[in-house]
Amino acid sequence: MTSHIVQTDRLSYSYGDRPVLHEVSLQVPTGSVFGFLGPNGSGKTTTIRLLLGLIHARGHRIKLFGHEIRRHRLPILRRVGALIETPTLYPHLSGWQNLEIGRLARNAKRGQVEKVLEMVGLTRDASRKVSSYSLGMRQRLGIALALLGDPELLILDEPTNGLDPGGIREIRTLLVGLSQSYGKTILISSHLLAEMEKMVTHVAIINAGYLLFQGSIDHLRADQHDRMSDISNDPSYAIPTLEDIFLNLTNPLI
Amino acid sequence: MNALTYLCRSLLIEKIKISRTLVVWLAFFAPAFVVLVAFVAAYADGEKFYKPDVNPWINFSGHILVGWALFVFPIYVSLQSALYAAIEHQNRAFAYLYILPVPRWSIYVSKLLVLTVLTGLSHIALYGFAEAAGWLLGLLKPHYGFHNHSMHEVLSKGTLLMFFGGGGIIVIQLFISLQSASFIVPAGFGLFVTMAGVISRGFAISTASPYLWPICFLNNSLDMGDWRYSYLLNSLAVFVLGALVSIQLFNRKDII
Repeated sequence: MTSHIVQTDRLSYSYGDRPVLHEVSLQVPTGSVFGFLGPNGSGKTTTIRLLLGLIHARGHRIKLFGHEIRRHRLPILRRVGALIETPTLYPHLSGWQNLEIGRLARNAKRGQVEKVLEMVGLTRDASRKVSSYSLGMRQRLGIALALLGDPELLILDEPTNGLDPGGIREIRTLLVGLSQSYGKTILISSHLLAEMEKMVTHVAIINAGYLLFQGSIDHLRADQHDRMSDISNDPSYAIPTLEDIFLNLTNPLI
Repeated sequence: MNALTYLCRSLLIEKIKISRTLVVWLAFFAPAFVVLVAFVAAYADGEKFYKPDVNPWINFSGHILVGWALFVFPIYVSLQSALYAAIEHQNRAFAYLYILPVPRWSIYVSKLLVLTVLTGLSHIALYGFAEAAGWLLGLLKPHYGFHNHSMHEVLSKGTLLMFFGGGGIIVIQLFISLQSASFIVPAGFGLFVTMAGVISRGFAISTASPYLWPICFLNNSLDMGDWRYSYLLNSLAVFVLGALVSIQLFNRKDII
């Protein structure tokens, strides 16, 4: 087993002549809950789209499970569940039918639909049309779709978008449980730093397409604590929160 | 999984997606509309059209086949493909589809097959509705003579072969519909190309348009000996080539 489930090697990408990623070398440890943080427009979603083979960066190697996504797209995607921004659902269909589409595509067993519905707490609403679902329910259905086929790696782009505090906590509990109980690796992008701090084991911070930091959350805290203590000349400087660190890294003038 | 398994799974997925949509209804509404118009015209003004001892099916079938081939068929395919692709565009579903572990070609081919089958169903329905409408006219207006004559072979072969003549329209419209997130673009394109074909129909150059091939095939005649079968071959060639080109382009497409 490779120690890094996701690896990019100095990955750069441009939309036309507008560069959005600059030599990003991302390494996501297997079994981690990996927070991918950055302000809006920093390149998070572009990176995720590149990882999933939705867009292509010519001449760059992007490896998942030790294999290049360009050459081994289908075997890799069988092992990945993903949610990109707002979940893609067909509102004229029921929650169950939406999951059945994912199940067929993943060639998963029939019982998987019921299993993931139970995991995200939507069993009772499965036969309702998705158009009648709340935003939180749609988000949970999106995560259920990502869970179909029992993937080893979950890539979730802003999975708590639009959720109320209760919904956010439910998702957090679910993801932490998936990591701890099932050993899944979770790559999660979010701007809700306080929430991320409660669940991630590793973190990468990206700003304007540049990767500013990646490593364990403890490493980040220790590193930033030392730096902030140096700046303030106060060795008793409190342990910074992820938000402090994030703002310090992405906008050092604040 | 092999190619056939992928294709079967993609077809099952498409079957679920079109359930509870207008796509299936439109497949029957479009031919019903043409036949209804011909029926109402025949019922109201049949005295002008139908003479004693002349087969009324000739005029009635001609109205239906020409109306369908020249106007409704290309416009119907344009609307149908736009409506079908809108299921994905409205929900921004292509990103989701392309991260599923199925080959991109199977997604495209299943959509092409579904659209082709729906179009085929419309032609079967057109034939069925035309026969039923003629039979009903025979009941309601016995002096027209619908029950004394028939044109089963011409009507059935005409509708079936026109369907094959529309292969070029199907593949072009599906490509535009899948490429453009706007419903207006494929629907408008189909409408204007159809209109352009109708306006320029007298010019030889107009026969280059796949949107006119169903009517070019009929050659303004219900005599099967006059039909131009070369247009069907042209249509099938465009269908196959268009599908291959579309697969290549969709395989390379970035989903931004």
